[in-house]
Amino acid sequence: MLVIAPRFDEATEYSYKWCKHLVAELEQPYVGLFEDSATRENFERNVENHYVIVFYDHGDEKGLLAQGGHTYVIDKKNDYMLKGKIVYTMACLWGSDGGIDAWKKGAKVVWAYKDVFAFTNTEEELFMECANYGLILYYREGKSWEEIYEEAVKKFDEAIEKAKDGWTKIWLRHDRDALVCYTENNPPPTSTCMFRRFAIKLLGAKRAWKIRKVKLIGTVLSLIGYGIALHDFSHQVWELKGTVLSVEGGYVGFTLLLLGLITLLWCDK
Amino acid sequence: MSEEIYRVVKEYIKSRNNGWRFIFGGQVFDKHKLLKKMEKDIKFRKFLIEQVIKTAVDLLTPK
Repeated sequence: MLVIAPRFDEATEYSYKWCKHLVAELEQPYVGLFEDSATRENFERNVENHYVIVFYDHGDEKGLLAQGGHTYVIDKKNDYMLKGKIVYTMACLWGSDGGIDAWKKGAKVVWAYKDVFAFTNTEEELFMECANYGLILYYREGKSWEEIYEEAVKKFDEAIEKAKDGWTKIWLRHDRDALVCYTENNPPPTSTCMFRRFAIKLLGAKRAWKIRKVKLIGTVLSLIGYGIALHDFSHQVWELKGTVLSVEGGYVGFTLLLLGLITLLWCDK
Repeated sequence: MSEEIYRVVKEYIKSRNNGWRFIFGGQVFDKHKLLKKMEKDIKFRKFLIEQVIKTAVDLLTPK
């Protein structure tokens, strides 16, 4: 497990504390990139050797912020390095765009927040418990991430009920609704690409994310080319024989081509 | 209605002690800073009111 936790402002004082609490509770071996070590270079040097990447705290739509908050530890330029890995973060907003990009590039699990993570210091432990809960479940109970997500939402609900302060309830509810967990079985319900959004609406997220851009372009080009060639061939047959309906080797070829294309698309599902 | 919610939220924040903190992403507010922000930033004020309503709806929704 690679644990990254910058500490440079009042907000990261809290997240740093929560992160330390989390690793102590997990009792798992880890490499820690804390405070000044929480840099992009250190992340890139270490990421290859780890399956689970934990990042606490600041983030935005584009990436997860390094020590000092001026550069990114992870952004869209290096998130391909998360391929096949589990990313667990409590950073704000990353789940709305950067996390989707990481998932698209092959991250196995993206546990993140699509909105700002907010909390108060009056019932701080309730927020910390909820933020840390998913990873604790993963190591202790070995459940699937879809199950863990459901359990984490329940944990938020319990915390909302337990909270004595109304303000705490408001922000626990807000954080619960911002939590996302993208997996193979639970793909992002939205995209920055207009065509993908249309496909999600049409086919649902699970099917729509399986459509690869290259595959779509290839299929469309093949079908257009097929149509042009078939039209041209039929026209030649009509000129020679006065009808397009004639037993010709060309038609057999076109039928085989179509069957071949359907088979290829079917096998690639 | 939202005027009433805003008034109640303001009263709530005013009643917090000096050690009270609200951490909203990278921003950390004490009660004075938060009241000032709410006063100046209409978008933020609307956002807070929305959160109060959403939570009320959530609490009243049978689970």
